[in-house]
Amino acid sequence: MRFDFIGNDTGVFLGGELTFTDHTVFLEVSNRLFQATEKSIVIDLSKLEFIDSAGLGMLLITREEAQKANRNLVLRAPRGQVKRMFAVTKFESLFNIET
Amino acid sequence: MTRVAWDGVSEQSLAEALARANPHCVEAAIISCAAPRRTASRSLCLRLTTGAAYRLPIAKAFARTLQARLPLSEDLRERVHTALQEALINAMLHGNLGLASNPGCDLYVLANWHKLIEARLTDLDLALRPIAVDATWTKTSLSIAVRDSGRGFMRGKRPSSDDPAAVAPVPCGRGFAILDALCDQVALSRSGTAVAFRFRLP
Repeated sequence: MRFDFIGNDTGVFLGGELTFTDHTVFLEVSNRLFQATEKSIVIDLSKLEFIDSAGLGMLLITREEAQKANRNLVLRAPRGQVKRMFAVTKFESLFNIET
Repeated sequence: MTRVAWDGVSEQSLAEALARANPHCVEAAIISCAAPRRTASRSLCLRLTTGAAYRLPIAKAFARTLQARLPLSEDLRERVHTALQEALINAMLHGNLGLASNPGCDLYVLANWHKLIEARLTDLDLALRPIAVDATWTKTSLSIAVRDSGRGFMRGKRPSSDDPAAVAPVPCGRGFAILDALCDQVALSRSGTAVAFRFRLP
């Protein structure tokens, strides 16, 4: 998985694949996102090409962490296989998703 | 019937080995244990270790190899890749390592769960447990079976895509719902150690 932070670490672009093997990188990304103090956290998925159920689980954990920290988590622009996985698992009912 | 040995090192070396497989590709660490089976003429077979399945994007390379050998649209390749990824995760974690799903909704519980997995993989008996991936195809369908060496999944516990638990906000338990949604047919073996799924070919 590739990543590129936005602004003052209030958001991040994810690229490549978010799968079972990416837990260490994702943990680093999440820790840095939650160190910022802005109300909204944006994870831009427009460059993410593939996600598996483990990756979906990591996003759900991030959602839980955001709720605990009283922050708003936004998933932006899922496309292709990622958008398909969101539809299959009904993620739109669980997340604030911007197209 | 020849077997191609894969060094188990990288996605690149796997892609190269699969490209040469006709139809068998076996990870070198278990090549002495993997007796070749007679297979259909249109097939691709991979034998790999649990350790390799944990470290490397096996499903991606396997799906790309299939796309090079039969008429898979990009949409169908994506479905194959996704379904195979889910089946391999299940085979590795729940089958061969005997682990329940990650119970946590917390980044640190997730990290500790992976430490548990990595600790288990230091046991060579577990790390070398084989997983078999067998693909066969005709003009009208592609079938893929993934078999692990575990104790077997209880059939009654398999969640369907209609099961509310499959869409619950918990970080695990979606694998079978995803298979049901993406494949034209999914079946579990009686032993619970193998899952087979089928795709119609255009």
